[in-house]
Amino acid sequence: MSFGDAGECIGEMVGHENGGLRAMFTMMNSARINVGSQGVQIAERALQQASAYARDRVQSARAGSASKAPVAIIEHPDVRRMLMRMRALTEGSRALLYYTAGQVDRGTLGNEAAQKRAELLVPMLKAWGTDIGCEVASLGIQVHGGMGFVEETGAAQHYRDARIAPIYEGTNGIQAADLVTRKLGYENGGVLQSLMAQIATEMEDVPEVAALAKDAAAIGQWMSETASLDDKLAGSVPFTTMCAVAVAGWQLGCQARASGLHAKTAVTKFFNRVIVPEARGLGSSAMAGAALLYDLDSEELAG
Amino acid sequence: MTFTPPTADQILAIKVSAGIDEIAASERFAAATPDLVEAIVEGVGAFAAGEWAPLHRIGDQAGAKWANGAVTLPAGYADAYKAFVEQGWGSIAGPEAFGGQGLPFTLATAALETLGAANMGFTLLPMLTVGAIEALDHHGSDAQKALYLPKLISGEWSGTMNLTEPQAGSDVGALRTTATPVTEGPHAGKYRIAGTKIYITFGEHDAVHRAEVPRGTGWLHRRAQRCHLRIDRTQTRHPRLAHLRHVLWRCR
Repeated sequence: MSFGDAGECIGEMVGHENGGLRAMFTMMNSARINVGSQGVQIAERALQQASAYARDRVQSARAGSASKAPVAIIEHPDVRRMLMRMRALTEGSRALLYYTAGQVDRGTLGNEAAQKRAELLVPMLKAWGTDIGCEVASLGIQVHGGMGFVEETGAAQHYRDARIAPIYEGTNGIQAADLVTRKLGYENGGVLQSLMAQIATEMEDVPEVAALAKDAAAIGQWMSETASLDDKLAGSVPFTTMCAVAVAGWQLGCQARASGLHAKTAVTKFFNRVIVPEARGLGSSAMAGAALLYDLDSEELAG
Repeated sequence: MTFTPPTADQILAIKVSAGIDEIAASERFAAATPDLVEAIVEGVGAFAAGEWAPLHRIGDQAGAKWANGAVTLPAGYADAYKAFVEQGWGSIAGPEAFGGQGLPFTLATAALETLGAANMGFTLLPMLTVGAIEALDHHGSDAQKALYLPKLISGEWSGTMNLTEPQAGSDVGALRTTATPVTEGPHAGKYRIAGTKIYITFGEHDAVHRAEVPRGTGWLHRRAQRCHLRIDRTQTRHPRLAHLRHVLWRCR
């Protein structure tokens, strides 16, 4: 769109001169939360479609079964793995979304600690929420097998819809940079440390989540105190994922405890045993440092 | 395929993870009672499944069309947006002084989540309006608020975002669009805008009459001063439309 090429293009100022960028950032929080939410949205839709297909599609006998009769693919272990993963990521990201929204509302009510925590959570939600949106939509196609690659099935639309979200409203790389360069600096790292300490305490009986929160706290401290700016930026994306998964695991655990629901408990257990250890595994990548990235100069890397 | 709103899981997350009861214990958000929370989540779920989800496929397959100087959304979209406005789903967290319901952000989040699960592309329209409302509510003059907020909150007008330029993607500081003060004539006191913006979502289409430009953050006086701008869509044209479908509707 080209402004002012054809006659008068008149605008009026909102706020005051030199205040535009700051004004823009006041609405950036909710915009980024709502984009993080888009990951949850697509994940939900892709999960529903894949679940329905897996229930209906009959293919092969159950491994190890005496019966040679083919069964719905939802009965097969690897399809289950995909569906459970999709569900755990969807519900986990939703838990992170509403935890963040609740902190925003507390901030609106004047709770400054909650306001700061919300700001810390925003890049985690935007980046991880939209990453899992892509992952879940991609798994949704995989569950459909060849039919997933057929346009008319509709599974591919979810992936196309999902794929913009890690890009716009600040790429996920920008989100991670925001976390390690700006948000991590809040109260000299104290805002992140208090969040991770709370998770480690409240999840004492869930060793995976408590351990992840402690890992994230330790890496956060390394980034605050020791790491160079390049080292922080090099590890920013895996670090952001670790933090997001810790909060999601914590909130899923809270929901499972509060509701006592069988399904929520099972999904949370899967999240803790599968998703959380993967996030812990990102620790080495988060601390690998920037030197590895520059062993090849730009000419060697791209040439 | 049919869409079933994830109502139960949303309500659980709103109760436990957002902690809505604690939020509703405040005077400001006292209206957010458990009954109201359920009514909103279930209501928007029924609306999204009934009105927006069925349009998901045609939005992808047909897309928006640019012809004779106007953008037309696929069949059904304008009516579905009208129904959204009439039922007030965009007004949940808007300030009460301008026709909003003044409810917690958490509940507006639930409405957008459900609408987006039903039809993510379409939901960019109300989502961007939220940004315009916030910008005006926090930084607009009283006159700007009185003029724009009621219609944005109702959804009669919508917001859009004009930030990216060909040379300014992640590097917002590289923007070149200028806003030059108008000193004479009917527009005195306003600004003359010049510049090129790309990746504009829901900038102009047949579902609303007018669009806001909340992030027309431009350089004033050649990078000397930065400001926040609102531009009437009627005062723009689109000479570079190679990616219109991309820009206005599919956004990818």
